Amino acid sequence: MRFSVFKELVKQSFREFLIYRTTAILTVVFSIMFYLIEVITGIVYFSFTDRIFDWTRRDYMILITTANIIQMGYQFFFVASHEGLEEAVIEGDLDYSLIRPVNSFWFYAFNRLDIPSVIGIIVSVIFQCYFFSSMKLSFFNVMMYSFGIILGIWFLFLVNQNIVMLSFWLEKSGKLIGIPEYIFEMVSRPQSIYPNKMVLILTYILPFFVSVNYPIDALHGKFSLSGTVMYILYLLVLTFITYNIWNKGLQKYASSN
Amino acid sequence: MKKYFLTFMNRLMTTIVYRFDFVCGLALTAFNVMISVFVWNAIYKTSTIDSFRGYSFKDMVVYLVLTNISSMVFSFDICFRIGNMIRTGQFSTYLFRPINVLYDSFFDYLGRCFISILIFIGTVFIYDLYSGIGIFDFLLTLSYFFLCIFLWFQIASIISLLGFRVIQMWPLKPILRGVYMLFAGMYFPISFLPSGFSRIIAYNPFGMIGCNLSEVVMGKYIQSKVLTLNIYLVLCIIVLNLIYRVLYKKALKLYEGMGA
Repeated sequence: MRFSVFKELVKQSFREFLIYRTTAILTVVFSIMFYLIEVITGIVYFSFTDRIFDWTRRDYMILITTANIIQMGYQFFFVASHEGLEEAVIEGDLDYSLIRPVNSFWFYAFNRLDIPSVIGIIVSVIFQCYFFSSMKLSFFNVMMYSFGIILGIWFLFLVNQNIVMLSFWLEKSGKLIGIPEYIFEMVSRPQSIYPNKMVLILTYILPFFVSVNYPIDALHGKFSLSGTVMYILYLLVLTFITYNIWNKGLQKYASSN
Repeated sequence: MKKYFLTFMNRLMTTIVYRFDFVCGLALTAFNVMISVFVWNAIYKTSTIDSFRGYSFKDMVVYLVLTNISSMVFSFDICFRIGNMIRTGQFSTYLFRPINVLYDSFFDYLGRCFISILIFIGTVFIYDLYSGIGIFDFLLTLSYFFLCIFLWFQIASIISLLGFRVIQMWPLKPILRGVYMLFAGMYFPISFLPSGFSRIIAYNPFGMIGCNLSEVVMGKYIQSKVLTLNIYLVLCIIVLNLIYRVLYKKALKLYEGMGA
């Protein structure tokens, strides 16, 4: 997909944002509110204990903020596209995009930006800077952290994309769309509180835990090169598979509802 | 009465037919409880103290289960019923009928969450049997629970009147959800909040139907206090009902009957 197309899509998203102002404001309010509830909950948890296993309060806050930035990042780039895509597949509205001379996978992935989410990202980044301020961090570690965040957003996109693509085959897949979000909420708590098997599955098969914890490990400089390579390879393979499933789905697509 | 019973049965049947939605909701609730239980388990294990503010780990699990089940009873769907009818213009036909909108909405609400109500009462019954709580306390708890249903219905009705002014109501849903989470104590009892804050929001309407309801069930209050809370609920319901009547009259004047 060419950059000029993307620029046009961004412009469209911005216009939409200006038209639906009330909705945008409400979205901002609730995204910030949910983050604050997480923070308050964290404060309550740590008013009874100094540590949850080996997690201090600051570690915990950094964890939920990281998870929030990834979640918001996913929302900013992809959520609006995914909402529209599921409906478009079922209603048979893909045709208009398929006849265009652009790569349909990328066209749909970056179809809409959810502008209000930017505010949510900014708020969490400000909080994160506050939590970071009491740590000694090198520039390299912060860069690795940001890189980890981007990988996390991409992972969340791939998982959600696969769930949305189920609607090529299943008519009532709408209910499944929320699942990644719930799992993501689960992994935004310290992983040592969960049973081992659960952690293993969500680390090696569906690396949800990695997506949230990798940026933090990178921040502390605790990441291994082989782990990083494995994670990136995993994402590349998953991207490749997702891309192929998309093409398979398009063959299945019958352009009628 | 018979016409309202029909509304009730209709809605109940719809819930039964679309049981997949209900099962999904139940699974989601179980999932949320599970996450919270894991977190609290870790906190209780790490800390050297056995009970925080009168809550042992077992109490906490019971509290989370009760609060989350009751949150299914107090759903936000009813806040959007009137708004939807106004948007589609269906509300006009509704006004022609010889029924009271408030009563009809109430029976619609009852039908909607009848199964959740049964699940909640069942849970309370099993808990009381298990922990040897007497029949009088059980009945007092039930009366508190039913008053909560009335209170919630009144709150939701007042919120639903926004439908006369706002066309798209759905973005409100997550916001209400968030307010409910915090003020009803979905993650932890309100008393766990820093004391200044928890004193301010103690006995707020959301807390009455969430946190306090669970605490009443768990026998955290003495009988006389439960009675006082019952009376307090009745007063709240009367005040909210009066507010609703005034607002409804004003809102109805805004209604054009065209659909938007």
